[in-house]
Amino acid sequence: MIDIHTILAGLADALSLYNLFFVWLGIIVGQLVGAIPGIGPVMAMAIAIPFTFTLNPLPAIGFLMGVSKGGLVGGAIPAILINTPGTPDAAATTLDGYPMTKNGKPEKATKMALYSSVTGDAFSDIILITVAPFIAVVALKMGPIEIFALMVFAFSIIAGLVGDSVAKGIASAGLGLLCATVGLDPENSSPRFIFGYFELYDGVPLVSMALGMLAVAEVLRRMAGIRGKIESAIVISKAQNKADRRVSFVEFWKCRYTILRGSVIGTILGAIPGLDSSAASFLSYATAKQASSDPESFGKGNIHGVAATESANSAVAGANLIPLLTLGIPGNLAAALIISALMIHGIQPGPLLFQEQGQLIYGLFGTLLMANILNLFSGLLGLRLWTKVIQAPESIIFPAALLLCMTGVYLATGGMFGVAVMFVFAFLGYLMSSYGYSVIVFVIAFFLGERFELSLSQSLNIIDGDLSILFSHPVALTLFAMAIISIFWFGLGVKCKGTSEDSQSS
Amino acid sequence: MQNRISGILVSLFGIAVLLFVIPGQIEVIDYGWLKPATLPSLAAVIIILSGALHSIFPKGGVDFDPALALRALLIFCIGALGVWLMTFSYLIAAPLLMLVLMWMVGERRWGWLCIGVILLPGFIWFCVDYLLQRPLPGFLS
Repeated sequence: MIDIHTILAGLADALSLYNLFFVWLGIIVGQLVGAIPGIGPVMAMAIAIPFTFTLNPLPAIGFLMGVSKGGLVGGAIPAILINTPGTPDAAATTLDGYPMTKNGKPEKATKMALYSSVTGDAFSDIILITVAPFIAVVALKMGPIEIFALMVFAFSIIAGLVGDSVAKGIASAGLGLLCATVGLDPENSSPRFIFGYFELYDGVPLVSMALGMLAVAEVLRRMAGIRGKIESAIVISKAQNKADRRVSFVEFWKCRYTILRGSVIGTILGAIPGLDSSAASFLSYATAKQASSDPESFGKGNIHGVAATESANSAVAGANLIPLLTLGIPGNLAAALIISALMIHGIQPGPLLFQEQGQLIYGLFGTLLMANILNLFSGLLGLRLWTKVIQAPESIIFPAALLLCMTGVYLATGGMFGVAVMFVFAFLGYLMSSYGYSVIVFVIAFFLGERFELSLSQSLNIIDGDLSILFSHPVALTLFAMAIISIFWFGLGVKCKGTSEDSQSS
Repeated sequence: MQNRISGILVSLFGIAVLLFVIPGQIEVIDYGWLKPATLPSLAAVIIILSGALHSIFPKGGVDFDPALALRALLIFCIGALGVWLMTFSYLIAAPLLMLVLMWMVGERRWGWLCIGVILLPGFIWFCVDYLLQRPLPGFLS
């Protein structure tokens, strides 16, 4: 276990003004981009990664976490005010948030979203801080065979859950895996898929791939869809009652069980790789409605609906770091980007992280807690300002995002080759998302690919052709069994869902 | 139908990788448990099988609008042209790229055009070149 001095040194790092400034900056950026439908914190994180190179790892990761946390708060604003979620996470917030706006209570709804979001986020951060070190200790006892089995399990969950078709999910994972094999192979250091470009000896540049697939592809899609200028989308009535402008403590306290339930659901689902925050918020909404004495009021502007969805989707953010920091498995896109940022800063996520970078990890934990406080105050001060941001025209936002991506990748890769690779992946990302192939699965498979191949190579050398050795690794066998079960479970689940949707549409 | 065709194309891509790209781009090594071509071949087989499965049992939505795709392709080409221009000078290419893109999507308001064409590239130049002391692309920059 990590000694107390390392923990205190890490927490001291987190409280330095330099670090807090970048976390706060990240929160401001996150709330700003979250409030603009279509941009979102994931794209902002992808764009920001190259610009964090000049920072130390802690403020750099703190800044990115700030963007992620701020984006969750910002995303609820357009969901509530104009029925358009700023981020996919806030989709369920529209169910009761927008009716509250129509009922003349937009400020009450946005404030409740802020309070429940920060509460859910803080809850999952506390769980992360208390649980993660113990999981890391267990994970350290895992050998190459167990890690390989874990990779197989992670692949099975991610491919089955993300996307609307299992076949498309598996194809996306295959494509991501194929791209991960570009460069030198781990066993023989033999070059693969170089095509005469010596820059590819180190593999596909992470930043080029991430920005191309996630940011530029979306920018292309959105820009292609722009027709004329964006008009002002909302007009907030100035004739609201004072009581409708704020959330009293009594109102917040009445929602305590709803928020707690949402936080627990978000934390559990967030800790499972592949489950996104949209699933958590819809599940939380459904359980809140079921538990309510007045379920008919849900969907008509019930404040519990906003509290349920926002606490759950924000709780996912902290819980996603549990598999990321302890096992090196990114649970969603934001986590995949955090992994790439850690790797770019020379830090390998996984169980050894707690031993090798204890001070950084506890610094990160302290940063997460401080980020929640800063998120609350920035949200309270900025809510009215972010509502103005919704009116910014797309005609400047997306070209600017493209220019920032090009500049960022140039800085990160040190040349125009990386920018060209980014455009290739943008083209691929556009095609994949157009035909319903999951970009998320592709990106996660790409990140897992290298470790998958290394652990496979080590496992095959240990087994040396004798499969009976597997029986002396019960944890690995359990994980393999779980992988098979999850493929059948999720495959069958998607099949049933598809059948029911087909029958409904017919 | 588009869904089914996408499955066939994915399968064909996998076949091309397996039969032509892997033999041409990966060295043949005949020792060790995990050869350099093992995982790429496995990935190619996964792509072929899942593509074939999808073409037989197509599922999920397709959101491919040819008109929008053509427009996206045009933006893609403008971006690629911008990348090429940046090899000469970022300070010329960036404002030009912003102007073309903003004009193309229908922005005609001088205020927003000034922000996008002058202020944004200037701000990036100030942050990167001046504050971070990192060179921007282009031998003329």
